[in-house]
Amino acid sequence: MGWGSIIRGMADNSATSFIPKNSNRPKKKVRSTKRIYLLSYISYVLFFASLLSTLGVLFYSVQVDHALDDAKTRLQSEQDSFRTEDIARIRNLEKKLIVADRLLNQLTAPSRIFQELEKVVADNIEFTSFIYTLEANNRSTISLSGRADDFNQVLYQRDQFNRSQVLNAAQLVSYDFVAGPGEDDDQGPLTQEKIITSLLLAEEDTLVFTFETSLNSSLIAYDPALSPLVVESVTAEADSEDTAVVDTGADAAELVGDVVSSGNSQ
Amino acid sequence: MGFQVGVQLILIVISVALVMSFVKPKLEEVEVKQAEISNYTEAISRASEYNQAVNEKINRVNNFPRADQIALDRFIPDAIDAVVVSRDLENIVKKNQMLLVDMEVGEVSPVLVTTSGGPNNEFASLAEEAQRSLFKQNFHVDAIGTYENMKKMLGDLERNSYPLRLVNMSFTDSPDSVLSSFSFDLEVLAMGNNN
Repeated sequence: MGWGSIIRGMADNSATSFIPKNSNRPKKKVRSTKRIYLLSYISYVLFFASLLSTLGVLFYSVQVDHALDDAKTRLQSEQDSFRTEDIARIRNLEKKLIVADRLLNQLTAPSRIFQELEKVVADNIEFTSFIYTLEANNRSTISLSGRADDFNQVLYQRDQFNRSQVLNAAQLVSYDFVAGPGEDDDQGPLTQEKIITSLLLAEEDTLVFTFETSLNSSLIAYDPALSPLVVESVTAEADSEDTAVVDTGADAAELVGDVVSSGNSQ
Repeated sequence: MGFQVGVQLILIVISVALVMSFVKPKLEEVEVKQAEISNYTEAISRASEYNQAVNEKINRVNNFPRADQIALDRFIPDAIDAVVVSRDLENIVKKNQMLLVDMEVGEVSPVLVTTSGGPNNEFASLAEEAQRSLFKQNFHVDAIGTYENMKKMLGDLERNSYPLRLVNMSFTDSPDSVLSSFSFDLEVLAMGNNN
């Protein structure tokens, strides 16, 4: 048995040696088995988030409820701060002022038509009838019928109307020439015999005509400044008889003008 | 392991159920309430402005002179007293040396309103309301007198304390007399709250 066999024998017996082999060599690292469970994480986050949001929403909801109640109370107190009777009184007064203002602006003075007629009616023209109608569209129509001796007079009258500021739209709508003094002055219908008689008597012929015009009511608007002060006697008489006829047109215009203008500026 | 997964799934289900059954409806409810609060806030703001305006107007109404109020009430009465109007017309006719021949009182009827299409604001709506509350009554007067007296009478009608609107007038000249027969259709207005 040589040294070589002894050394091999020792090497073979090392497996059973009580001396640990390679004790100084670094151990193999064992991988940690700590695993993050995604589902668990999500579930916890979701759960706590939902809990928190529930609490938050509950708290916010209570606050919103309080705010709503508060708003209702404030609105109610605003509503309670005025009385409906006061509002009705104000509305009634305002409505009256509005209506009064409109009425005053739309008031017409048909007497101005006669003032104008007196200026433009020719001396040799005789008007026999007059019809005035106030239309709904703030216009007035006037129909004037009269008599003249011949067409020249009617033409002259038409020219006179054309020069008028108020009656310049007057149109000659009808005319009828009647030999002699005309039916109006005579009894019964005009016969041939009557015509011959009138010719023999050299009576003047008659031309019956009608003028019509439609005018804007603003042309004859009521103007307190233009009205003569006859009304004072009316007032005096009215007062003595305990009537309500007084001149307040101008006063009312002034009053309504002041109040409506200040009302509109609100 | 299986138990843990079960718990996690239950937590997720509870979370979803909580959100869907409570949080979401509550949020929707809150949203509605917030809109309501916004409306209320706006209403409060307007009510406050309105109150201020009302208070100013109340002050103005309270300071409105009594004489002016009486004149206004006479100009636009709340109701038409046909007897008083008839008496006033009789006084006007007689005062002008005219002979009252006939007087007829018509029915009370509402005034037809034509909308002008103006600005649609509070004033316009009030004006429209005021116009709607107007009603009228017609008075027909036949009188005999001279042309000059008729003119004076017309002037008095125009200057009356309440409007006597002449809606129709006619007369025919009589060739045999200085007197003429006159026919007047007059309209009296009032403003009621029941129309």
